[in-house]
Amino acid sequence: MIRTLILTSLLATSAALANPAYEVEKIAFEKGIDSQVGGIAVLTDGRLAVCFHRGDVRIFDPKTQTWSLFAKGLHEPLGILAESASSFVIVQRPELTRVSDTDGDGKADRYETICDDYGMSGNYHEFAFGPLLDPKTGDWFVALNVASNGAPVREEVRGEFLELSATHEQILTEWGKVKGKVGRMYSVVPYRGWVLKVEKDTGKLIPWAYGFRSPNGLGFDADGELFVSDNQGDWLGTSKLHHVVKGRFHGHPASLPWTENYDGRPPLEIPVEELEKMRTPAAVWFPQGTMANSPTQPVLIPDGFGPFAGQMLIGEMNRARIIRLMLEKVNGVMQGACVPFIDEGQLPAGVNRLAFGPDQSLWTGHTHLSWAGSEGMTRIRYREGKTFQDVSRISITSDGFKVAFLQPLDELGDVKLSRYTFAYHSAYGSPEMEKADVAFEAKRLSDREFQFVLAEPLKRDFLYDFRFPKAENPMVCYTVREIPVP
Amino acid sequence: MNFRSLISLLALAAVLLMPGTLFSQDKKPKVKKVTVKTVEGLRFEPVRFSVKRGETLELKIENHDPNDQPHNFVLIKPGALAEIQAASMAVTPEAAANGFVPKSGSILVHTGLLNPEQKETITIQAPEEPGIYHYVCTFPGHAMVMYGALYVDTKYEKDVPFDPNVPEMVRALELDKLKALVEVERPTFTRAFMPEAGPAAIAVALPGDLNFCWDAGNCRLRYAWSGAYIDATKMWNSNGNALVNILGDEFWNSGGGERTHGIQIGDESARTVDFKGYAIIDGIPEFEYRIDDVLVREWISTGTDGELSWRFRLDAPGNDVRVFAPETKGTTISSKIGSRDGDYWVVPQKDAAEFTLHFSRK
Repeated sequence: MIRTLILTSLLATSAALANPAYEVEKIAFEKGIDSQVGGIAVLTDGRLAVCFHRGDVRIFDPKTQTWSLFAKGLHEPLGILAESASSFVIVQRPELTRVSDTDGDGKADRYETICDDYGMSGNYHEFAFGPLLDPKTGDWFVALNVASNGAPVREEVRGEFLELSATHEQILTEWGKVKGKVGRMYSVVPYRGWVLKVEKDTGKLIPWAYGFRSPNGLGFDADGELFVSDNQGDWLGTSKLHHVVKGRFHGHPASLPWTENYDGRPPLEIPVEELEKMRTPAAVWFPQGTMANSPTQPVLIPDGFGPFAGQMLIGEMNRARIIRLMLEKVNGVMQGACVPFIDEGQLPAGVNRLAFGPDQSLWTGHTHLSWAGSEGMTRIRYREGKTFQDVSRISITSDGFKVAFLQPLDELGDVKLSRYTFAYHSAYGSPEMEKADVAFEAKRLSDREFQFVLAEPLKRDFLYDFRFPKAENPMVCYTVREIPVP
Repeated sequence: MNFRSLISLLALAAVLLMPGTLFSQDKKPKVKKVTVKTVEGLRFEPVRFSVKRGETLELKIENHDPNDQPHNFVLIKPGALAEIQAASMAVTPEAAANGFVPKSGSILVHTGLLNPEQKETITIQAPEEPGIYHYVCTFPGHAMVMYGALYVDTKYEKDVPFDPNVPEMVRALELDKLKALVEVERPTFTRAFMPEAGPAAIAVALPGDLNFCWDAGNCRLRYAWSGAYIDATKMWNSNGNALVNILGDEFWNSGGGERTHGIQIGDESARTVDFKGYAIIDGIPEFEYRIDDVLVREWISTGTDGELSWRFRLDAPGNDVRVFAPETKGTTISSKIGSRDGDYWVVPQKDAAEFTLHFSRK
């Protein structure tokens, strides 16, 4: 099954070129430094604080192109925020930590635990992601990965151990027998599979939303709405971007037992129909193999970085790609489209972290952690005045889509449109289901805008996969949750 | 008859004419069995191995990659690595239909595409030409880093960390292993998954050759060792699953499994322990935690006598302080202040604002 999925998805892949309007420059590292990036924070003076796979935090000065060691010894830090040039909030496997230099020598001398009130089973897949600063309150959002049955748990764990599917003893001694029952990805210690809020003043943990599998990316859109990515796998037919609101369930059931007043059923015994009723579907699907296999951090595009200010970008691990998002609210529900933004060229794979500097250059941090990906960093700058053709906006109408291009367009060319959906089930991934080409009529609205009227009614919970041959990035995928009334 | 057939015929004649061959009791040809695993981090294990020319080789290829990656094993002619790496990047329907094995005259033999936990056995004759033959995974995106070297009647010139015929990533990994055996710059500290500790453990290397493991989950000192620090390469060169290896000799271990605290204030009833982090003093972390409302600071350093020195500072302990400090492996623990009570060292409340315990190895 896995084999078939990989084959089908790769077949649809087409090589694309780097966007000519953006210059991608690789950042140099000293020899001997493991440059797998877990997080990037931009300081107001343009310097960067970067945390790395081996637990160190280094400061990079783009003016002198030099690195200096600030802190060390962290356990897989995967996100960093700057409070000042000498104080950073970092999420690492065991905790959310404030790392600061209090004596002004440029080296960290305090590692203050802000919050460690969540569980650790010792399973390698229990990564911690974030932190994302809530500008309204000063609190932080973090997200906790579930465990993978690629490994059991440790003898000693931190936090309450949940024994709904198997006992701790069974997991330790009869792993081969019980791993199927436990689930492909599992949550046996508190808040695995959750997005959480950590209160600024008290460090108190507030459970926020659940149903996540591998939420390696948190970001706000221009209106301050929270978006979190998740990775294809069990219960995820394909990778997703979720619009996260407090109390929502996003589909992966492993996290359910950590809800209040949970009834105690092993998560895998809950009927899919019941889960389906509870869950909030994703705002965006990223078709596996063709668009993204592991989407990462969403970031808002500022003014000064080309024509897409106000939209979001999101990284992708498996290939050298950054994706652009075009979101809209329809009938009160967030949904929208994804389109490649920069592909290949100088950009390495493993685009794990993205951060805009004060000069509007985009810094990317790359990693792999032994999955597909790469390492190092790049700086991406918009080449002022360089034009290119791409879809700038797509929005849904009652009978199709309105598509705007960046530049005037004489001919649309041979536009292809297909639609498909993905299964919601415990199995790993999903083929593209109920796939069919869709006929349409394209009506010109202006020199660069077209109305696509479909020959069949729009279908909810389907993905509409456009290929625009005249665009730099032809593939544009719109996930339909809601259809506006005429 | 082509040239190759002629050679085969001559070879057969040579075998037939070899003394003893015809009358040998053992009619089965000798088969060399080699298992090649595809493992985490896009690597073949072993990354190189050697055979004799013409030897019958039973190759068992097993996909052990825990990251859901399909792999194949494609044996190619000497010097063809770059060509096959480039060819494997083509993601076409034809390539997919052929298990992503590129069409090339440089390919000698290959397996199908193996999904995780699948295996395939192929039996081949080792090449007749001595040389270094690469084996490559041609699944798109893998070939640049995922290959190994089959040495046919050829001596290894260099150890793996320096062998230009194995991928740079593997060389770096092997070199790291060597480096890890060399002392780190002391003092230093590393949060990692450690043996015999909770998942929120911290390793510390002190000046001299002392090291210890402090558990930030239950806020207590777990064990101490002398000599080299830790080998973290497996943790660093993977998804982080591996425990670090303790490189030196353990001279003290508190035991106590999952006990939830290192010190008690007053009676034995359970207390809330809350880790607060650490400040760096002389390069060494001073751990901070609360036991109920009492802030405790714990700084473990190398004493003037070259032994572990274990300092406590407490803000307003309302009772006697009992430190869990069992004497194990011949190591004794004592202080000028207080007295021993079984596995505990007890410090009276009036002296408990600051006190230091001293280790003494056998």
